[in-house]
Amino acid sequence: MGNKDLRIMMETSLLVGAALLLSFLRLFRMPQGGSVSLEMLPIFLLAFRHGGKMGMLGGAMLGFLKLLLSPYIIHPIQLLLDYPVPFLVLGVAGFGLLRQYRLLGVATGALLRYVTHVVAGVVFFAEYAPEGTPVLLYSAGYNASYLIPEAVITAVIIVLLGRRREIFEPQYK
Amino acid sequence: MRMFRSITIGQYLPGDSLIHRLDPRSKILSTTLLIVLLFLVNGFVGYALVALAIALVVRAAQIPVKYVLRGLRPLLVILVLTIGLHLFMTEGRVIFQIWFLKVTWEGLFRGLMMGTRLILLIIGTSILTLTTSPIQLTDGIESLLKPGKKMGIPAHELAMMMTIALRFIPTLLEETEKIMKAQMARGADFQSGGIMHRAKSLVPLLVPLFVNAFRRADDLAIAMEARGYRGGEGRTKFRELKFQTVDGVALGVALTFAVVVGVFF
Repeated sequence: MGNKDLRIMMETSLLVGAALLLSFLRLFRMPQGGSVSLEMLPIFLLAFRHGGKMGMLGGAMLGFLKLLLSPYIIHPIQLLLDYPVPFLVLGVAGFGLLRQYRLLGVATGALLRYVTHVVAGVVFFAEYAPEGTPVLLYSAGYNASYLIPEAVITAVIIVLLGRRREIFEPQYK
Repeated sequence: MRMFRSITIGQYLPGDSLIHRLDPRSKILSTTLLIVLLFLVNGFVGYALVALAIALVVRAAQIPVKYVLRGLRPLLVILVLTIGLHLFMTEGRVIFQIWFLKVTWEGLFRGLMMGTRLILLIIGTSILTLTTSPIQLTDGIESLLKPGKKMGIPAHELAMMMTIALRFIPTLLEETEKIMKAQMARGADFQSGGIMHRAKSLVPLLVPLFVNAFRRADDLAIAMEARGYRGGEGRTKFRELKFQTVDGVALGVALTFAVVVGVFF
């Protein structure tokens, strides 16, 4: 374990901590129950700084810690699709072209997160709601209601931070 | 600064009950058993038995009922929706009918069953987080994931990183407050305006927050290096997890209960 690995690990820890902190600071609450925060921002920064693998690892840890702090488990598959997976997929923003064109990375990550939450909702309804409920529609609508504003705000802040090289590139200090 | 007052990190309620003192591994495994059991049980007798068991554990853990019920608040919408949908959409013997909405016995039964399962799931899992601190939970998970090392799961590194993340939340919070005050003294305004405006006003807060976090990460890495940290191999702990007889008994009781109720009800 070299000094560089350890530094990246510590950066990951602190960014995951920052993401958890930001997840508690709600910018506002949606009437249907979702809420908008900047929790995705540190995971995207991690992905841009240290690549997709670290981004995915950090995202998974964020999801896991959220699960430990306030679990909301209504189905075993929903547990996976609502906690580690949606934040893990944010890490793809650190791969190839997505890392280069950050807005594309944010959009792709947020879209993948949206898809996993929607599937989690469908799994939940398949278990709990009677047949014939417009499951996909409801889940897609509910998750869009808070994730679209959240993704847009995160993207705006990524753009505003854009010129700060020390935030996106670890070699600048 | 109103933003910060409402922050509670996690749900842990410190205490010294039998349940609090149990080894986190025993509690994590029992909770997993409970989740599986609730999906096996199919009938009110089974649910009633699980509810009784949960009530006994809550009692033993000396958690105020208020806290247990608080966890149900975010569930309310989903609960009403689930019961409502079943009530009106299940075909069967009609109890009464309002225009085209038919309420059936079967619907009532299914709705109540699903509602009960949801409530028991949420309460059952919240007992784990109410009685176990996040640090204990990560320690427990690290130990449970150890066999996964052969499959390439870096259990120690993951647990260490998660523990540090948890440890630094209060520090980062304090720092955020400090930066906020400093920027407000310079005329920054974090409270007013629409959501976009407020998001933009956060930039002068986020830049120093992240830059400081990166610096702190460097310091931490150097400090760990200087103290001879070289991964999980051979590392000792200040607080060792001890799986004692009482933990084995608790897990055994949970397993027996799960098998009996799961098979017969």
